[in-house]
Amino acid sequence: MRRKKVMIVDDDKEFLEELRETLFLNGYEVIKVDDPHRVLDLAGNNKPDIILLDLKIDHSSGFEIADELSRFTRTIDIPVVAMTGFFTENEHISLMGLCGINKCITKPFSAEQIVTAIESELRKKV
Amino acid sequence: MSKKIKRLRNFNAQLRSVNEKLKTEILHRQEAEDNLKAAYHRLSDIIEFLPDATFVIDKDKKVIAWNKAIEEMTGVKKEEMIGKGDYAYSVPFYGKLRPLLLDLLTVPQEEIEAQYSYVKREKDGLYAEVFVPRIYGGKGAFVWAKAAPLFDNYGQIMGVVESIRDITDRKEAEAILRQDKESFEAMNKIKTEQLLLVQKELTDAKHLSEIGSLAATVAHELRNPLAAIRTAAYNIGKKSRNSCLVSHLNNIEKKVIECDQTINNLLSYSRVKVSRFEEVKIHAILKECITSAQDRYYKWKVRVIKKCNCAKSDNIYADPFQMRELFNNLLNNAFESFPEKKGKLVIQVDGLGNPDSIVISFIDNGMGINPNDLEKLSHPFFTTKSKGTGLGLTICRQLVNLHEGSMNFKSEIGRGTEVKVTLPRERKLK
Repeated sequence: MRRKKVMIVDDDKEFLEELRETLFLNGYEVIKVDDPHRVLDLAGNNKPDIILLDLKIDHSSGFEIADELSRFTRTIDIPVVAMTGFFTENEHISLMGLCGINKCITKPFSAEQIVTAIESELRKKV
Repeated sequence: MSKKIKRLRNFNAQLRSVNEKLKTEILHRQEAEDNLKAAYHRLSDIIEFLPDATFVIDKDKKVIAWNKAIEEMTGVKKEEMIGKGDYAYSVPFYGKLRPLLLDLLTVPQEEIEAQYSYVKREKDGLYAEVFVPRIYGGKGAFVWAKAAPLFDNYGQIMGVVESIRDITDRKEAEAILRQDKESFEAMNKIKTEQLLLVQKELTDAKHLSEIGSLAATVAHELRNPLAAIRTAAYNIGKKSRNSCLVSHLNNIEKKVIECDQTINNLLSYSRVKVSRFEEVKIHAILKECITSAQDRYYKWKVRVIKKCNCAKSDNIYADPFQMRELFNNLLNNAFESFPEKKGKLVIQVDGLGNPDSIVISFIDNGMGINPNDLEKLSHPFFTTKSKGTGLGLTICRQLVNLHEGSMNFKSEIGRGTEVKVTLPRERKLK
């Protein structure tokens, strides 16, 4: 069975590295992105199954990125899970919905929490 | 003979001369009298048509003039009054014989001051403002009266004139103005108080919004590294498969969760709150909070006594989450008040005899609060604890305010503290 491809977007390089490792250890293929401006390109080319997106990134906003992803046919079907330390899950839920964010998970989450979140979104896709 | 005749003629001539002089004198007198009469008539005419009610008395205090305006004012005709004395002129005003303003002209100042608080002496007479009950057919009116002496050519007082003006309209206008002024001032006072209140709320809100943005920033800045630490710990555990490391990694995980809890609290303190009111089993919530506080402080020897002076089924309308937060904070404070980690905490619910509200008291016999600190209790960031954000009571105050209740403190150093929370049973609709 093909490993599911997860794209993770965050400007915290150490966190990105650790998360990549966690997801890899849980059987995913991981694409790291620390430059918010490359998300659209890389997502269009690599066709990940799911994108984990930090909502508060330097010089950009996760909301904007999610909104862009939902406007292009090549990326429109990719589910987006927001990871945030800034907002809580209940806040801005309607804004998240408008931007095409399917789920929000609050940092610091456990490995189990993130895997559960990914799996539940992927199941919805099928 | 001729001598006698001569003397007689002489005498006659003298008499004639005297006679002539007398005739001239009489003529002069008559002229003067005519002048006087004319002057008197002129004066009478002037007085008669003065717009202000006016009358004149002579030296013997007999009325010698009573004009048209005063006829109208008193309803007493000139013919009835002219020539009358013995204070007859006071009857139309007061219904009895008594001195009027013009009678006071000759009374010394001190006596006037002692008896008539409303009379003032001015340079040319007396002045008074007074309510006169009998005029205008018994309707009465506020009048302004002025009395002045009349002098003859030799500077002798020949009479006194008094003029009376109806100032009821002015008085009424003054009263209305005064009333308006008073109500305006009262309104102004209320507005000012409201303004001050709003200003205070604004300052508090600003303070809280500053805390809010600070808290949100801190939360973000701390949660990101915590996320990395937690994930890293997980990765280490997975990759090393070394059982010696497990307990250490678990400790890291535990501490990360603790940090996260602190951040959550900070955020919850500062977030703009909206209450979701529902019927709440206040006793159940309180009991639950007490149990969890006892769990948190399980090593402490604190005797907790819950007293209840109302039905256990006494429910109130409140936000259950906010009630929990309120009780948790107050219970934490109570426990933290025991420096020796032991003491007595009485929690009392009073609801009997008050259909509108319920009172929950937290009474500890802990260290008490310094009187100087008492008023600072609800200030954000004020704390006497080495550990703590200083937000607990600010939030309690906020939560109680959201429920339109009140919170009061009584404390004595070394004796303990009593916190009394009053909560309305029903949601007041604005």
